Amino acid sequence: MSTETGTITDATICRIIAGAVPRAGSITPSMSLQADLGVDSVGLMSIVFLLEEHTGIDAFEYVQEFIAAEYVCDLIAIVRRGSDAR
Amino acid sequence: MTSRIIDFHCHVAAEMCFPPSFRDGVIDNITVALEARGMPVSKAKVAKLYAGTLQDPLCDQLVAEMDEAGISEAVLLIPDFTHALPDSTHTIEELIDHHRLVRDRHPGRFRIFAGVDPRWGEDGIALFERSIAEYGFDGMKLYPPCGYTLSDRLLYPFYEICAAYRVPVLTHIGATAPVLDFELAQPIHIDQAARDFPGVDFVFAHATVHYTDECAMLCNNRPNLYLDVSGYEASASARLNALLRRGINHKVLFATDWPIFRLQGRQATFIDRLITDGAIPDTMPESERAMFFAGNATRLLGKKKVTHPPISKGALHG
Repeated sequence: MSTETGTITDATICRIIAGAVPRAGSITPSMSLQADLGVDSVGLMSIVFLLEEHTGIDAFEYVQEFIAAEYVCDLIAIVRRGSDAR
Repeated sequence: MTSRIIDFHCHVAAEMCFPPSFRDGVIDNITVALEARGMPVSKAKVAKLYAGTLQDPLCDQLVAEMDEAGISEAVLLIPDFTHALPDSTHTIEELIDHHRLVRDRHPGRFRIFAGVDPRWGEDGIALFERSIAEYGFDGMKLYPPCGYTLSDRLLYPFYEICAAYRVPVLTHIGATAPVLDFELAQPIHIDQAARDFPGVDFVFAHATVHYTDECAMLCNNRPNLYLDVSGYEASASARLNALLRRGINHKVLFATDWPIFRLQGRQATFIDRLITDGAIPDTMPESERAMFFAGNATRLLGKKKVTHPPISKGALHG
């Protein structure tokens, strides 16, 4: 996966995700949302809304992809598709 | 992990099965939780995301996830909200017909438990018996928060049908969408019915997270009472571990409550986490694991008599 598209880097997306996972330290793309970060239903919703707010993607175009996401890299891929579509 | 898995508690993931007022209450709770986490968002946005979890009306995604998780069969439950919640978009007859369609689309993968609110009277009794005798359904689903208790005499004609056909009754236990009455959903309300119908097996849903001690006590002392563990996905692995150490594993049924926890992972994830999160005690013998994952479900579902003279008036006449 490309590490940078436009001005949004993987690291930036990870930092945005971290805003919804306050207990986590440094987040990396290979981390599991549930096993590593303990993301629950409300946590995933928080992540989706934060990504929408900070990256400008239309999150509702990708609801099924967000539901199926298991790893941080899955979320990064969704943001990239959303950014490319804009 | 184990050779066979039966999921005793699933629903069709479709908005038609959950009336708007039911969904609104769930969304209210999520919105409050988001706001508390410093994430004020409109209910409309939460509703749109939540609706995404209810877009598998024919259960194709569920079957794919069952395959991935090694779940051979699942029980699909039809709670009847249509009497209690007037904004239901489909009648209970339409919901039952839809579940027949789903079952026939995936041969051998689903058993169906029909719910019929007892206040529908003779028509409801006939519809329920038809679901067993004619449609081949395998049990009854009850939802007391809709406005009745488990020993309500209005339910006794349904229990007579369950006794005649030897099919189990699974009941919701505990809190639910805030539009409904929580107080009615206490497990002790089963006691009179369980005594009056010793030939009917009753299953408490969500006993890992709701009234765990009371459910376990009742199951330990009444031969025809069982419990399912759905809800353990909500950070309740330690509670499930404790439940599986109580010496009643011949009464405990594996269950997930699909699609309620779809935002927390796939069915395979939840199976894996039984081990990785320590929900299954290290000391649990293989024979008890086999009962938990499939043996108890097989035993309950295997008692059914496929033919029986009709109990209700007009059961086979529509």
